[in-house]
Amino acid sequence: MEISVIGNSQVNFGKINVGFCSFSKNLNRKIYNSKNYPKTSNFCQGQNMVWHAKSSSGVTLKASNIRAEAALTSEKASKITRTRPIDAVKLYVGLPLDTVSNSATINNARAIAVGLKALKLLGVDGVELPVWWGIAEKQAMGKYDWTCYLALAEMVRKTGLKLHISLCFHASNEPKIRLPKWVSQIGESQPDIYFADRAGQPYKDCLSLSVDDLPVLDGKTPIEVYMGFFESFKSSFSAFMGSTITGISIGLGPDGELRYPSQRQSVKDSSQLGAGEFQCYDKNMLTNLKQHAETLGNPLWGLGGPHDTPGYDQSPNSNGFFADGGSWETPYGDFFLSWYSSQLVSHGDRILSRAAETFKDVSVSVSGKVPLMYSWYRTRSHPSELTAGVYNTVNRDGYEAITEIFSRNSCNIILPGMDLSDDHQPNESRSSPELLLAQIMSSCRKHGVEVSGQNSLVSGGPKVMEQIKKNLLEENAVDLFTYQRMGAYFFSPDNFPSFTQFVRNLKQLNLHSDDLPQKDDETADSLPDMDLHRQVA
Amino acid sequence: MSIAVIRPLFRQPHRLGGGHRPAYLNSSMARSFYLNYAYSPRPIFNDACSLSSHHFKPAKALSLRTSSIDTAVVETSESSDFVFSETFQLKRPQKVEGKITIRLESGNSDDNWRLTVGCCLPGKWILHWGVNYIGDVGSEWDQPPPDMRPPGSIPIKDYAIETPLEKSLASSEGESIYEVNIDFNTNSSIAAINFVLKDEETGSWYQHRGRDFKVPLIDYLQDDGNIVGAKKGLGTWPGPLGQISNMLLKPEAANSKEDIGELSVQKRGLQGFYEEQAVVKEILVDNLVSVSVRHCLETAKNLLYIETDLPGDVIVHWGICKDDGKTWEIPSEPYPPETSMFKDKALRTLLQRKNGGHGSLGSFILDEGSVAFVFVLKLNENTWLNCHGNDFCIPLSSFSVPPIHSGQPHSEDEEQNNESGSLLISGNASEANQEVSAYTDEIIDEIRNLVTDISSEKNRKTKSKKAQESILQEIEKLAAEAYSIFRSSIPTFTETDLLEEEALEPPVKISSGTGSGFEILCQGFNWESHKSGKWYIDLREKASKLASLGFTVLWLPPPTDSVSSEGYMPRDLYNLNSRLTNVKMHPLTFQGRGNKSSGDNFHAAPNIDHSQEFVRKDIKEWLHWLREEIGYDGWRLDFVRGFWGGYVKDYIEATEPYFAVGEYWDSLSYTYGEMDHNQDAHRQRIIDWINATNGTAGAFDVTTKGILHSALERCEYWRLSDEKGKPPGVVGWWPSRAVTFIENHDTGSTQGHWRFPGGKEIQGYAYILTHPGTPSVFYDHIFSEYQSEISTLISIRNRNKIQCRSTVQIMKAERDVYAAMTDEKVVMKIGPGHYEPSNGSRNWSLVAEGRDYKIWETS
Repeated sequence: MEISVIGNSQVNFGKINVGFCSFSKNLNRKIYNSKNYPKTSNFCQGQNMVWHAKSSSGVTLKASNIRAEAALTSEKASKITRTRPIDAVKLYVGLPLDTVSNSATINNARAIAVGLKALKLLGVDGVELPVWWGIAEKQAMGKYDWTCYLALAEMVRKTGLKLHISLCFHASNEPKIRLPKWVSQIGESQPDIYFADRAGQPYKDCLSLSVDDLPVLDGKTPIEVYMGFFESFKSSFSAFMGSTITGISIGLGPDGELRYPSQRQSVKDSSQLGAGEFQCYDKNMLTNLKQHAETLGNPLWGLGGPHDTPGYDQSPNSNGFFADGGSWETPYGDFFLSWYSSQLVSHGDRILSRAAETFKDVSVSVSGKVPLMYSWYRTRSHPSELTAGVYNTVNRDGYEAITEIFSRNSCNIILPGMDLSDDHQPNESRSSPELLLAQIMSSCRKHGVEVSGQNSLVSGGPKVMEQIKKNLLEENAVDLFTYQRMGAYFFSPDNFPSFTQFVRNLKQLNLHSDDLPQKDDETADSLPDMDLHRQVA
Repeated sequence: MSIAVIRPLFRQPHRLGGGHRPAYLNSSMARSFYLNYAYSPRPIFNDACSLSSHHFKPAKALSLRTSSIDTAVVETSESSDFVFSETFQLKRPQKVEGKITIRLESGNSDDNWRLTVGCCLPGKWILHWGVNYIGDVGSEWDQPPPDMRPPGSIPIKDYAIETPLEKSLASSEGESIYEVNIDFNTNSSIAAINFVLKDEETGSWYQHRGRDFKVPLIDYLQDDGNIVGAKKGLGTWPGPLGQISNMLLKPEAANSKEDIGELSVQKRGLQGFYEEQAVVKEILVDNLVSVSVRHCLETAKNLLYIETDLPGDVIVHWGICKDDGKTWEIPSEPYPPETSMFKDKALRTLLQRKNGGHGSLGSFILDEGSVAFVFVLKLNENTWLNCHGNDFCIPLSSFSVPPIHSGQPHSEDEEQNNESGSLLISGNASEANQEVSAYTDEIIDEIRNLVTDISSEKNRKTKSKKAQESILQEIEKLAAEAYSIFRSSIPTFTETDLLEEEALEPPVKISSGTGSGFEILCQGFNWESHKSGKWYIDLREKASKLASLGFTVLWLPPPTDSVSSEGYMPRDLYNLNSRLTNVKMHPLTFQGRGNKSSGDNFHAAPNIDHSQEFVRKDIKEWLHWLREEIGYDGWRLDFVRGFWGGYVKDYIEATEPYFAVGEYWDSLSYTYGEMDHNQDAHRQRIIDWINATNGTAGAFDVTTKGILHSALERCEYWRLSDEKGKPPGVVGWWPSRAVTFIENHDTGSTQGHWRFPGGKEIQGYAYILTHPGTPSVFYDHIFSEYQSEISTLISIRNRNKIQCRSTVQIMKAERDVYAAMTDEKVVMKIGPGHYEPSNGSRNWSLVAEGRDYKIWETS
């Protein structure tokens, strides 16, 4: 874990000699709750301080190996050179999901090359590149092919942009990107490696968290396979680590998010009326539930999932479970939801801790994506969040446990939905992306977890950009924003001008000609090369 | 004293190497390797070749190359001793400093003055110059009066003169001075002399502070920054920040030392002066590196010697290849002395200087297991020498020589393509890299400079504004390109794609890109039209005539000039016209344009920021109004950089015009003043623009006009066929979207920017009116002595139903004659040479004939 102190040079380092040596691994949290350290509060509370993991500048404290106060102070003194404005949000743009296609070729390489240049000129900091399990480890377990990804990394490096890698252990429907073939083949004979819903329908776009530590993949556990993937990626891209590659996000479930695949509709944004279904019906989940119930002395509770939940397309109130005063508020409900959500949290912890361990010696940030299950947020039971595995209700903050594992593993949280506004939600869904976002962000702040933002919808336009800007600039809590994503629409006249405007605002570049000095004798006859062309043509 | 660096343009690398020696020395030993260096000058016109855009990349076999340079598979010597021995030619960039001198002095009488421009560097120097007359508005050049032109001067169009610099008698001490004298009389009405200096040897231009040199001869001339000999203080040159638009030259220092005084004679404010400007020219020096490999059986090792005559410290940056020859590896020790490891990727060995001091050498002991020894040479931080853009690759065993690094980059791609599951980048990436790299990289560097260099606040501001404008334009261009590729999902534009697309379209479908397909445009105005103040009245009188000639689309001046002032709306014309003739004529408007006299605004749209949604909405509404209320049927859209096709598509889709045409106007490609035969890059840019409009607009086929200029003017009719035997302009690639023309209000009329070769206009019309595309006839030509001939040509076109998608087959394209057959119904020939269609199955009869052209029809 690193902390950076950013601010002007007036920060008085002479004063910070009291509490630093006692800081333990939970440094962030303790400092944040600065009332515990009244003596240092003048340092910590100032406007000059931003918690900012993995910053390239400012003071760096390795929490794990703080040895002596003296050494620390001198390090600090030498490194305080540059300041970063508090509201400087780094801006990335996602590359197309199918940048590297199934047949291991780079799609639209020319367009991407051109697009990268455009982004660079625009002042965008970097790009995000999805790296698919189903492509890089397509042939056989342990047989990796990074060629195209390396070529892309090189393209990005040459353009002078940064790169955020998303390791995707899931499949995608649009564009069609599958899990590795050898995994699907195993799934043919053992469908229990996938999540299943009450009807027993498997979800074949990622592995069930229940097999994390089971040797289901030709004698290896999925976690071991993911680890192998991390290691190979790390060594193959070592030349880019910390320089071009600044961050890696780790796929944690469906669409990479830390959740159950509770929504099965292909388009999950528009007609998201239902609350989704619990996904605890694969063999191993059920076994696990049974054992858990028996341990708690309530074996009957472990015979299956709740029986009174609505179906995918039914209103949450149509059955008893999520209704006000429904099963969710009973001891059984609490038992089930606690178990269901803790399974998810443990799964997240398992993968993140492995990833953090793997990438700890290269200076890249590690992050994971947390879902924004905003529909039905304005109900008491928050059914969409419950089925997705976040035990967050009117009575309970379900994001505490999640942000805590991110904090523990020094990982950042990627939050989608920065573009969503409450105004555009269908009234009947009682949803509130903005409130949910605020809740998660506050939890992140509390745990000192850094947040990277993303937009959820592809449709841009000035209003969406306004919403994003509001989220980014209001809170100062978002360090990086990744705009999703490059493609035809992104560069279209409908979107690109507003994106350009958005970047300009964000970067506070005064490109508007009115804002620039008028007395400019150089512009009267600008572009001499054009003049020349004309004269000689 | 200012200093500027002249950079070679790399259009024809083989002529760069100082003097007149061909660079490709093809002997059996010395192969044609030239230098590829990553020194800061990037190729400014990147389409010409790939040689210097590749920076050295160690261990990245992925770097794709599209250049096909001659094959140079490394040969193995027969000698049993030497496994390998070869000498490579190198070209090393070297800077030569010199100066340009400008002297203004009075001659034998008070009224006679002399301007002397000189340069002390060797080269084929040409002074490219023109004058401003007193009373001229604007900054455009004019031809000087004949008595002012020194002998040997060649007029360039009607605005400039090119005069070669002669070796001066004042040359001394082995240093030659090249000079030109321009004598003039102060009683002539010349306000200023403008010039730039050109080195024909390298194609470099030398300007003054990024712009033309300007020597004012009257004292009230406004100083806009580029005046030579003015009494300016030091440091007015803004320094290294602002060179984004200064693509050709890069001034390096800011001092301006002037030497005014002794010669000053006061006459109408005229003052003699003498000024020097330091100039740095980069020349390429030939060097050699020879490599030999011996195999030592006893030790089972290879001994490799490198010897070179490169001066100074030479570092060999090297590694070995073990198997596929694609990845660099670090060999096992021992290494030669002075060797260091570079980032675990390569070794760096400093070669030992030879005793004589000339050149250096080194030897390397290598294990048998390696397939090849790969290296590049490093002279200093910025100068790397390699082999055709690839690493030098020296095979270490006589079998299994992977030729991949030896100038056959294509095979590399192919090899990879054949492996299943391996990398399949179709060359697009590299193409794109190359195409977008030069200019964009330049800008990216400038951005870095902007960020890092905060030396002068004022300069930073003024310069960054300029930079920002260029950047925004560049971003839009890039975004447009990316958009069109992503949208079409066709990686690159290819001819076949288009042909297929064309085939799918029903032939008479009306679309804004083509109209009915049978349109003939009349450009119904010239630059003088607004002066008459009653253009629409005049035109009304002529409308019936135009319609009877066979025109279907009439392109009118901007409505702002015409509609409000006289109250004659296009609809009136339209009504009148259709009443009289029953021929539908479609008035077309075009966007407003900049000030006539201002060169910079000339092709610029009015200051409208199309990226603003509300602006676009307003324009759409305005166009709607013009279309619905006023009665325009279409648009002619001035292309400007910053007004990309995507927006055009927007407007067009919103207003559904009958016909729309855009103008993408930029320079064709020339090499040493000679137009290149292949103008594919030029027409590709136009096609890209059309593509970005999604084909909703056609575009003026500037390429065809340009090629017709050269073909007709210089009797080079062979130019009218491209390498694939098709018409060389846009009309050869996307005929239905090509609006062919030979003159418009900009190029002809009283503007005369780029006038079609005089007396050859009918040849031009014989070409465009018999060829596919949508021809446009210029007003001035219609109402001239050419009228009857144009009328005949139009009637031939209409009679034979030649349309924008007609097929054309080139029958002959030789020095003095060009002949083509359209739709197998019409044959035309232009040029003084002889051509007759053979009367085989068809019976051709001559239907039109004139000076250097003939048209036949099947009878």
